[in-house]
Amino acid sequence: MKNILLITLLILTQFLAKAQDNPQPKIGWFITPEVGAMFLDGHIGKTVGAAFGVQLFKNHLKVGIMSYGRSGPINGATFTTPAFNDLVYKGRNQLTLRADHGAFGLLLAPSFNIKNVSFDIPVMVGMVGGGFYLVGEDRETPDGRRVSEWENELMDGRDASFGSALEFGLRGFFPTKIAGMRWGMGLHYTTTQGWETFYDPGGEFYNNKLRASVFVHFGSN
Amino acid sequence: MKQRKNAGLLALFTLLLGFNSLFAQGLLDLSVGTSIQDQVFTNLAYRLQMNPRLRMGAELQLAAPQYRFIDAKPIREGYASTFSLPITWQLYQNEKIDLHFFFRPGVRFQGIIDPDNNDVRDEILSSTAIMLDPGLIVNVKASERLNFQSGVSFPTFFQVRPSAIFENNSTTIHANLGYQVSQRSVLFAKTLIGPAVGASGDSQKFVWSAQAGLRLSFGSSSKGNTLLMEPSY
Repeated sequence: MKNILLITLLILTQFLAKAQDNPQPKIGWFITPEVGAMFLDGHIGKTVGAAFGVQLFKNHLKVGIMSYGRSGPINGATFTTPAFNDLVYKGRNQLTLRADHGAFGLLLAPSFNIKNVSFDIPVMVGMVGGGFYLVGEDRETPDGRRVSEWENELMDGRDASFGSALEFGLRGFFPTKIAGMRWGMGLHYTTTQGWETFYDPGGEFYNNKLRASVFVHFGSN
Repeated sequence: MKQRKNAGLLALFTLLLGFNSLFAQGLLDLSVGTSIQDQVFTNLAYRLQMNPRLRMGAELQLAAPQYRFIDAKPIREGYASTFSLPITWQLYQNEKIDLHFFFRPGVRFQGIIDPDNNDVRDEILSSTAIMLDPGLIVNVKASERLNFQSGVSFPTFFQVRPSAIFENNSTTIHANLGYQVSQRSVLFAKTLIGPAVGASGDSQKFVWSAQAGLRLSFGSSSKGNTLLMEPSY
């Protein structure tokens, strides 16, 4: 994943360096930092992320990378499950867990304008990684081993996993007084495939869920 | 040994002054902040505006940890220092907005004295890590005196000692601002947040940081935009 990000950044840099040398560049750029809310079963997950890439065909298509995560420390919801094989951890066989998640993929977003408001249909195809982890004092292991070793044992090696992700939605971009800067909101439908864990063997925790985003969008046009 | 160290510092200082005279603009940054990792940290940076598009520098961060990791296990006190070489390269500019590629390679040292907490300072647990932080930063010229920055970067740490571990990577979004208080001085603030992952889930899962400081500029002020603030992790 890190290599893909680095290569994408380098390719984008080359594109933009050439575009800068051209008085009328055909390729634009965009960066969109965002915060979001995932409407999960029984709670709302808070996310932080960003998208970046190039704008093609007179800004009618964005191509880039999108990366966002529902990080555990900013999401206090906990989940309980019996440990695998009734194993006991710190005197209990019921585990109290938090969840974290990251999604990363290729972004394709056809764009159109209605008056001075711009809209796009972001489609992200990529991967999702996430899992469930011991929280608070439970992260201080009784034998000094790494907490991930305990998590592996207590959850049969399925405390976390990777899968594929497909997300699509609609975003609106509203102008500001500064050319090249807009703010906006989006609604996304998120699906995951093949992401299964000990706590959620059906893989439904992030599958077929809505996500809302609020963002600031910077771009060359 | 001490003479050799002094000679080295003198050579470095002369080199910096030489570069400053040659390239005509230097920026000295001093900031103090707090983060999920550190109760308090201070950053000292010296940057050279090589030309209107390229800025290079060196930055030293000294920190009092509150939640860092050695061998993927948390430490809640101790010391940490990071030396890095931040580079920004302007890719695009229009009247109000410019875009910069950002890259910060560095090395981080951290440790804890008396890790077994037996009140006998007979042991030091320490680690060394390589840092790479690439990103894209947008600078918005709100006015002649006020600029703000946003963007995304991907700070990544590979622990190389005492064992080799992919320690952490985060997708970090930034919000910085620089306000010019006089021709030679700028007040600035920097914040960042982002999800993080690494070390099989044993290291940071989220990062945040906030800092404020002062920038002093030396030499010609026509070389580059002194209100452009680089991200600091």
